[in-house]
Amino acid sequence: MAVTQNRAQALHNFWSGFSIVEGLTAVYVHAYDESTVPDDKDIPAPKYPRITYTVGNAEFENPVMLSANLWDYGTSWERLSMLEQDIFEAIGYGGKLLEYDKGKIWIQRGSPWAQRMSDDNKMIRRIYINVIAEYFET
Amino acid sequence: MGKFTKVASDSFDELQMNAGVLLSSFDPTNPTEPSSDDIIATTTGGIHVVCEPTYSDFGEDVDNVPNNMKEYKHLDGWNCYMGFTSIKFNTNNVRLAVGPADLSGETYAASSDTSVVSGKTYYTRTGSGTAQSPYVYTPVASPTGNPSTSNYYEMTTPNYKVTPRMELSDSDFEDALWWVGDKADGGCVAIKLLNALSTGGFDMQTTKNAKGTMSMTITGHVSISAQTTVPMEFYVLEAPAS
Repeated sequence: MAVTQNRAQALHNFWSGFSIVEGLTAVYVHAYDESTVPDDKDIPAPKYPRITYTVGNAEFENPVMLSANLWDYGTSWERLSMLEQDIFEAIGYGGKLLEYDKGKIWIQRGSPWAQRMSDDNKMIRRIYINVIAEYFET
Repeated sequence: MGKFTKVASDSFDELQMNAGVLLSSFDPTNPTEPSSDDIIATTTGGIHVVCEPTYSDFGEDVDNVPNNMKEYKHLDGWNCYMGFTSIKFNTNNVRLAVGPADLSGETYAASSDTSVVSGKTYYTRTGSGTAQSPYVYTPVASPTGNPSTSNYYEMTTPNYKVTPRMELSDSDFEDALWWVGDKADGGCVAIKLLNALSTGGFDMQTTKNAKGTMSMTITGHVSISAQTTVPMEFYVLEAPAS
C-alpha cells in the first residue's frame, strides 16, 4: 500500500506516537513543531508532558541534526525520564526508518542524547534530545 | 535536471544498513532475530566480506590473441573470506582466531536435577578417568527423564585454556559462519561461509585507555566431498509479511 504522508507528516507522526503509563492509564503525549506550538489554553488535555520538535531537511547523504524538547510540569522528573527512555528505545541502536511518500527518513540517536535543562520556573521540567536525520530521497 | 541524473525508485529500499552480526547459525527460510548464544563476536569497524575469483588467461602467451579474450579465460578458483575485528575475549573467540586449537580446563559434576531444566546442557561421560582412558563428556542432544539418575553431568567450570595445535583437524573447521545485516525495507542480507577456518591466526592489539581488539580473517574452504561447491553463499531476504 502506497505511503501518502509527506516528510513533515512522517516526522510529526513519529513524535506523536508516544504515551506514558501512569498507574493503569496510558497518558498520550502531544507533539508540536517548535515553531507552531499553540498557546497553553489551546492545547487539549493532557497538557503535559508534551514534546516539541524541530523540522529540518537536507539532501541525501547529508545528515541533519534535529532536536526535540520533552516538557513536563511538576516536581518530579519521573514522567520525563520514562518518556525519554521510550524514545531512546523506539529509535533503537541502529536507528529507525520513517517512510513517507517520496522516500525514507533515517532517524538515529544524536550525541549528547538527552540533557536536563533548567528553567526560571521551578515547576517546568525539560529534557533536550538530539537526533540525527538522514533523508533518503532524490 | 538532466534525465540521467536519477536513481531507481527502489534504491532506498535496497540499502544495507548498519554493520550486521556474525552468527554461528541462521535459517534463511525463517529469518528471526538471533539469540545472544548465536552471535559469535562483538565487532568494531564493521565486517569485510570477500568472494574473489582467480582467473588465468590462457591466451596470454598465444600469438595474435589480445589479452582478456573471454574464450580463453579460465576460472581457477575462489578466495572467500570474512575479515573483522572482535572485541569479545572468551575462549571460543580466541580458539576461532587461532584456528587449530583445543579448549580445556572445564570441570564437570554429576547433575543433581531431578527433572530436565530447559536450556541447560547435560553431558554423558565415557572413559575411566585414567591417562590411558580419560573421561570424555558429550553433550546430550535431547535430555529426558531424571538427570540425577540418568548419569547426566553438568559443566561446573567452563573451559579457560586455549592450546594451539601443531596439526590441523577436521573439527577445527566451522561448518558455517554467517554474516547477517539489515536492509532498509525490513529484510536482510545474509552471507554464509562454508568450512570456515581462521587463516589470519591470533592477532591482538591493546591500547592505553581503550579496548583491546583481535583482528580475524576467516577463510572458507572447499571440501573433498563437494569439490564443485564454492564456499560462500549469498541470500537477500524480503521482510517477513506483517
